[in-house]
Amino acid sequence: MVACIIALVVFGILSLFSAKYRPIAKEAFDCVFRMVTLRPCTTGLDDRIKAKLVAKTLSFAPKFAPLLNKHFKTISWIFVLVFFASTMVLSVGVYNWLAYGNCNGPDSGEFCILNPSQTGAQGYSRVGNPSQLKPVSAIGGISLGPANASVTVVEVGCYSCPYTKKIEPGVKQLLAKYVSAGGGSIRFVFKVMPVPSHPYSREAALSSICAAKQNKGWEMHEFLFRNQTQFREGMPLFYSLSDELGLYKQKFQLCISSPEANAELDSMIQEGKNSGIYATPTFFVNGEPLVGQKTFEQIDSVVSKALAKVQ
Amino acid sequence: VRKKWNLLVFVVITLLDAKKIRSDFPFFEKTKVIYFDNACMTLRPMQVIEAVTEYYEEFPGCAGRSAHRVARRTEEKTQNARESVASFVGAKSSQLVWTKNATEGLNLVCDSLDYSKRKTVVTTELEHHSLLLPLQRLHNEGKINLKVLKAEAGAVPFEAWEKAIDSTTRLVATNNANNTTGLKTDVKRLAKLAGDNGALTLIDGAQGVPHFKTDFSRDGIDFLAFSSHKMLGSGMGALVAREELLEELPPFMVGGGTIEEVKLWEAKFLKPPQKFEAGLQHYESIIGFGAAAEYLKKIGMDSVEEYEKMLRRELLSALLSVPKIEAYGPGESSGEKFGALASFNIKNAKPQEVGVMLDELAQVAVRTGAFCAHPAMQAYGAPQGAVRASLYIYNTPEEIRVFKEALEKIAGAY
Repeated sequence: MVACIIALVVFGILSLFSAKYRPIAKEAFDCVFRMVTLRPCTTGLDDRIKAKLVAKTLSFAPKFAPLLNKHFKTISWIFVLVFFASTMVLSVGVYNWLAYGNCNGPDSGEFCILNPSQTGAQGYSRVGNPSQLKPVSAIGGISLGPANASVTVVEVGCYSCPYTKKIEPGVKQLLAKYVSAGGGSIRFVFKVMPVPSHPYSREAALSSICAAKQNKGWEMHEFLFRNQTQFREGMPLFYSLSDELGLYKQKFQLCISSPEANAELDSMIQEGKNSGIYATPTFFVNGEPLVGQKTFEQIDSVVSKALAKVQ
Repeated sequence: VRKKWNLLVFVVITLLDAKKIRSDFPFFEKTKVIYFDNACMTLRPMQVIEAVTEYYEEFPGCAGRSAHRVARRTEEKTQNARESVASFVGAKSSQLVWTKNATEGLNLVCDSLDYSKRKTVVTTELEHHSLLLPLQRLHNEGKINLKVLKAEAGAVPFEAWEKAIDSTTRLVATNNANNTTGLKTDVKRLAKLAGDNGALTLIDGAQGVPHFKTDFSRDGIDFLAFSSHKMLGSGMGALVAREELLEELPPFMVGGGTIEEVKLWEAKFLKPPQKFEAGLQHYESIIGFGAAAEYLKKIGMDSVEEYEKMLRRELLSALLSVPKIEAYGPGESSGEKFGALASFNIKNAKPQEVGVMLDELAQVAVRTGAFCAHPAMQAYGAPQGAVRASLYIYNTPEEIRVFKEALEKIAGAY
């Protein structure tokens, strides 16, 4: 009887595509309906499923067959519960992936099976080997620190990427240590590389570029990460952020759709592709790559070594 | 020693025959299925397939209606088939009516007989629904008084018939071989008993006619219904009856082909058997039926019966050697005779499960369920049904060995 539940789902889906599965789906439905109404299943479908499985087991693992036969109901229930639990988890994951581009939710840095490259960057490199990355130039993007600093840190990130967002506190610590308090010992550059599969990722990147044109690049940078989970609202969100920052509205709106801003963004994307970037964020410390979500300590260690090397 | 030697020679010869017979069946060239569902439907030899194909390709016309050469050839072939099938059961062609299946023949007799003078009909609880249900309906409608004989130790003793049949009995209705256990009925003795009491005998020959010599005239049967698809032919049936009884019976169904003359408010019907064969007939099936009868005649029904006896012995020995198997029906020690058929269950296993597993494990095709004989299965103590292995002339002891090995595996899982 329990096996009919799984059969209903499986054959129900299959019957959408092929008529040959419809009688079995109908049988399974009848069986489940009778079960729900506390009547015994009379179609014999569950017996047939059980018999087929036990027979297959008898062929390749005869010793296990009596066990399967005896505890078939219990095993079926376990499978049913696992089936529904995994379906639920998968549904949540798919929702998260569609909504935030990450199946684990907007704030998670965990591995996502739906997005194995950890970027969702369809069309981007899938090299997956940091040693093959080519350094990205420090020209363009938004920057802090003296232009002639002996160490340059370039971060290539995306405003809709939860991993880039997650590293932001670490970046702030780095800036506090080496740019503000450190007397400008390093130059930090943020270059945007939007993930195409993330909704409004490109628009967010353009907002950052256009805000920078009104000298509010870092402010917009912070606003965008703070409002990352709201990106689905689309352009109205970015316009309201620009208002909050006190940007010249018409200029900002014209900039978003301007060929210049779009060309600037495309140039950064192309540079990322040429570099072989396969995940955001990716850092280059004097050209040495650091891929993925790193802690402040990890980045700091590489920066310290780079500073020691040049001094 | 001589007896054993003779038996060995017989077995060797019959096995060689079985091999030759198998070569006539294209089924065995195309599949490795071990077909043990012959009580439901048999396989068809090339001879039958060719006869049917010949009709489609060379003379696909109507019989008995048109004068052109195609129709004449159809008429000739169907008439030949009628003669072949009638003579196969020891009857004349004028005594044979084509029916859709054995069920239709049984219904025709049960529904058309005149019960005004005698109302009692005697049957057994071991009958197929095709015979039991028409009688049950007539009884419930008050048209007959039905006596149902109970089985004792799996069979209805002849004494029970003797007690039940008397001067009020109109009809004695039973099978000549049971579809649940293969148990054979002594039809000749029963027909004599019925005849002595002035009663008619209706025999459901679906499971008997294909498996042993049935002689309608010699056995003194009044009505014999059987089917083609259980004896290597196409899907249809036949009813054989004494001519005077066919004359008396009103047509069950009327229409084209049954009449001599029709006016607006009256019709004059043809003589039997045509008066029962309304509408266009399934000529291809009739021709296939005739070819099947000829095929079996060529083998010889005595040889068929002997070979099946050997198969039955092997089958029963295989079943009884498997642990947890419960076989139904009277045992061999009862002195009863059986066809190559057995019904059984594995302890704690549902019959349907066993059927599926046999198919999965060894491609053995068996029937599961109550075999359209619920009261019979209740009488045998298996109301939930059973697994039925029914064998025929093309089955072999080697197939029984594979079947046994699969059963042993399945029994081990319970």
